[in-house]
Amino acid sequence: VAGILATTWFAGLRAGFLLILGLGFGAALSAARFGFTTGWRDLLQHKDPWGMTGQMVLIALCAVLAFPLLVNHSDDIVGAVSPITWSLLIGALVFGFSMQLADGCGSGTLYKAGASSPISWVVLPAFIFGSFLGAAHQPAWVALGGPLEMAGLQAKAAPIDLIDEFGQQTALMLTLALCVLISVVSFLVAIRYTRRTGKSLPKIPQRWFWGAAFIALLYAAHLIVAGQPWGIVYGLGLWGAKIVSVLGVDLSQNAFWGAWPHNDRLHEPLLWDVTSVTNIGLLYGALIASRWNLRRFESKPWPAASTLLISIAAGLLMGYSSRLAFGCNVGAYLGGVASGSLHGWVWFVFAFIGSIYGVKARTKAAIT
Amino acid sequence: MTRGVIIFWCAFLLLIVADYASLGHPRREPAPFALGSDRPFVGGHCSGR
Repeated sequence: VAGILATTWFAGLRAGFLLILGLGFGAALSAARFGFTTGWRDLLQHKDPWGMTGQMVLIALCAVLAFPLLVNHSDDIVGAVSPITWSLLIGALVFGFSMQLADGCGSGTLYKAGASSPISWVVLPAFIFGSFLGAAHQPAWVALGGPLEMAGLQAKAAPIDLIDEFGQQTALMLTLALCVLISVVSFLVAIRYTRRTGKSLPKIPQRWFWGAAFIALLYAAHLIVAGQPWGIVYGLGLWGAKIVSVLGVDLSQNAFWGAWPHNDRLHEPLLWDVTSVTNIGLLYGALIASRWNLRRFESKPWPAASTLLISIAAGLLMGYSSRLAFGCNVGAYLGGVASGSLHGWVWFVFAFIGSIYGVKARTKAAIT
Repeated sequence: MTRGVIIFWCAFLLLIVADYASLGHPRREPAPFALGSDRPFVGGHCSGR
C-alpha cells in the first residue's frame, strides 16, 4: 500500500493504477503458474495440449476486449503494431530458443524472479543488459528491411494491421479462428500420442483457464489506463540504459537511446515509464502470490553452476533478440495479436520453431 | 532465501529512489486514464513506438 501511495504521489494517479495492475499481473501469473515457455514445452515434450490451449484462450479473450477499444478510441489508445522485418524473424527465432534454456520468457522471468526463483535472479540482469543492447542496435537491424519488401509485396517493410485491412469484425473472426485452429491442432497432437503410447490424456489444469481470464481482464484495464498494450522488455532495456549511463557511457549519439522519444524516457524517472511501473508491480505481485504457498517458496535450491552459466547466456540472448523482434511473448505475441497486427502471428511461428530446438538443447544440456 | 529476498528488494527500492532523487524530484500528473484523454501515449513500448 505504501508503494502504491508513494508512486501515486511522485508520478501521478495513472502510475499508481499501473502499479496495481502490475501487482495483479504478477499475482495472476505466479498463482496460476501461467507460463508461455512451459506451455510450449509441455506440448513439445509431453504432448500436453492444455498450456497452449490456455494461451489461446488468453489471446482470444484479449482480442475480444481490445479490438473495440482500439477501433472506437483510436485518439487515445494505440495497439502494438510493427512491421514484418528480418529482425522480427531472427529475433523471434532466437528468443524462442533461448527462453527454453532460461526456463522463462519475458513475463516468466520477471514473475519467477519476483517469486524468488534463483535461476531467474541470474537471468534477469542478463535479460536487462541484453534488452538495452538489442534496443541500441534495433534501428540498424530494422534498416535491413523484410521478406515482403524483398519479394516486392511492400515498397518498405511496414506493419500489416488486420483491423485496417479487413475491418474489426472480420479481423476478430480471423484471430479467433486461428486461436481455435492452434488449440485443435495441439489437441490432435495429444490424441495421436495417447493412441500410440496407450497413455491417457493429461487432466485439464483449471489454473490455465482462470489465469487466462484474470490476465485478460488486467490486459484490457492496462489498455484503458496506459493507452497502449501491456509490455515488458522496453522497461527492462530502459533500466539497462540508465545503469549504463550512470556508469559514464554517453548514449546521446545512439540511434535508439539518443533519439526521441527514448532519450526523454532516459532522462525522466523510471516511475514515469509505463512498462517500468508495471514490471515493478509484477515483480512484487509475484512475491506476494508465492508467499501464499510458503513451502514451495522455501524449497527452491540454487542450480548447478553449469545451469546458471547457460541461463545467463540465454538471458542475454533473450533480451537482445526480444528488442529485434519488437518485444517478447507479451509485447509482440500477445500484444501484437490482440492489436490485430500480423507481426504477432509471425512472432509466434518463428518463436515456436526456435522453441523446438531450444527444448532439444535443454535436454542435451540436462537442464531439469 | 528469505535474506536474499530482503536484500534484493532493498537494493531494488534504493535504485528507484536514487533514480528519482538524481533527477531533482520532478512531479507530473497525467490524466488518470488514457481512455478519454485525447492524448495517445508516445514512446515506451516494445513494438518500437
